[in-house]
Amino acid sequence: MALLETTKLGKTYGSLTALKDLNFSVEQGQVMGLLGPNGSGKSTTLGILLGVIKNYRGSYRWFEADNSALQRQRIGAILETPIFYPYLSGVDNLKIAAKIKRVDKHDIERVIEQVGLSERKKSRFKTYSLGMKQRLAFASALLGKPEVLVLDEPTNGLDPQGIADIRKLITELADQGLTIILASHLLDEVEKVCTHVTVLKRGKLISSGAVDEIVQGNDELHLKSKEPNKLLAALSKMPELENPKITGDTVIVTVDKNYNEEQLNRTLMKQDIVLVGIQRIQKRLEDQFLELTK
Amino acid sequence: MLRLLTIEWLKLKSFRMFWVVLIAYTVIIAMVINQAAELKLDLPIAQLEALQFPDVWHIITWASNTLNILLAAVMVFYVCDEFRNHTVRKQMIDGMTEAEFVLGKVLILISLTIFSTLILFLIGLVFGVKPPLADNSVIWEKIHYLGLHFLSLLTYMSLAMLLGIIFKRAIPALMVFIVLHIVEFYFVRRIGGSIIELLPLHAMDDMISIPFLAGKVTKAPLNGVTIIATVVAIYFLVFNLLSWLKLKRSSL
Repeated sequence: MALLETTKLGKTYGSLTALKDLNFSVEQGQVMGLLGPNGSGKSTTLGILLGVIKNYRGSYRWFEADNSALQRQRIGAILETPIFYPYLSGVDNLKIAAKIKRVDKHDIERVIEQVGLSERKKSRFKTYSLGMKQRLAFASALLGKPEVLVLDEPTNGLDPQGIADIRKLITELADQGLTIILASHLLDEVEKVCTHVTVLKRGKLISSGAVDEIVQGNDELHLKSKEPNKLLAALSKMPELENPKITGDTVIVTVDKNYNEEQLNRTLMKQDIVLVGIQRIQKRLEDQFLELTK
Repeated sequence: MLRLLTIEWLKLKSFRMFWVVLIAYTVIIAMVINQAAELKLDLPIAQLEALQFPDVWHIITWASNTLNILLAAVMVFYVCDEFRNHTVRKQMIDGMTEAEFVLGKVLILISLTIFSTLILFLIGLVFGVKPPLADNSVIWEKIHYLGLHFLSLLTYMSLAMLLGIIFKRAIPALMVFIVLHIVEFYFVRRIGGSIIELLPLHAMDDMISIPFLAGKVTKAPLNGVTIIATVVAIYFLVFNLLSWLKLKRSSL
């Protein structure tokens, strides 16, 4: 079941096109990473999907129903910075969110406990550290056990401990089978947590699919030999190896993810080429992202 | 309705400015009316105290009119605070509709107006019964002025709220609100005419006419007031409809 489906979503600000004909979907149980450089349209996309950016083109459907406030009550979301009433306590802020979402007030204690804010729940929001504010935002998003969680840069501005805490929380939620849409600059985080990614560039979708598929076929083999030029010549004749290049005593080739380097070693041995070192470098999402958004 | 009122109450109970202004409003009204009680009117029949039934209703509602701006200002600050803290955005993300947001605020406007009307009612009763009454029925004779005050204040604050939603910042919204008073005053004075006199602020003001001219209590023609009250009620609906439309069409 598609929890979210967008059709030709578009948004312009004056002469600037922030988003153009964006089509993508998120299935139940997926952890979707929304990636893109600054100004690529990630926040605009999430703003439209959460009903705070208006006058857009195209359409979107949450839970296979037309967009409405009732659908939004089934979503937990954090857009950029945590937003609360500074003069109210954490628990009072959550009471407001619970009333809006029509969630029983007893659920407030559960989410406060879940994010570890029990000791400071009665302190005013304005006295919280950035990490605590972000945890309160998570607590608010988790009220009423949402079916999908939308997170826009959830670790922005946090210290390393705060980042680790939030990452752990996201991983736990993902493990529980919650559908998550995560926009983040931290590609390492996305690669660890996400099952799927959608990559945007200047408001256009440039790639979308499972993380494994996106990074597939892009491993590098670093082959060391005492005769690197002879090795390069041999490798250049093998069509399954791409972009062979020489760096010192090492020859680097790009291979498919399923390529068997043992077989390559045997083939080279038959040609009297002895490898003194062989190393597979897996291309990471970050490399692929930089390549896509170049 | 109760859900929206609870949400607004949770926000307001710690909004210090709201309570400070509410207390200041109550104290100032009591002081102004107390001063008015010292006035003596030269009427053809005898010299009477100004605050006497049934004219007390007319006089206290008119005297309190100038203080409406206090309640309007606190409403502007309250609404603009939602934009300043971006909490309006958070509420929409959580699943509140634009109509619910405006309705929640209108419920607060109504609560404030009920509070103000009740205060005036109590003050009117206290001051009105000071001279002994020969006929108790006279107490309720001009009680409709409280109804006019209710409608006038409600519409006045709705206009203030609309400006808050349009400008999103309290100071510019209040400045435009004050400029509107000046512009309307200028138009009414310079141009006049029945249509001009139906401009919103003037119409609200006109529902409760100046109670005494040349030392005499004036009479307000009730049928004329009914027309103005109907126009003001339409303004109330229009202002809140515009607030909703503005929210509906703007990105947050």
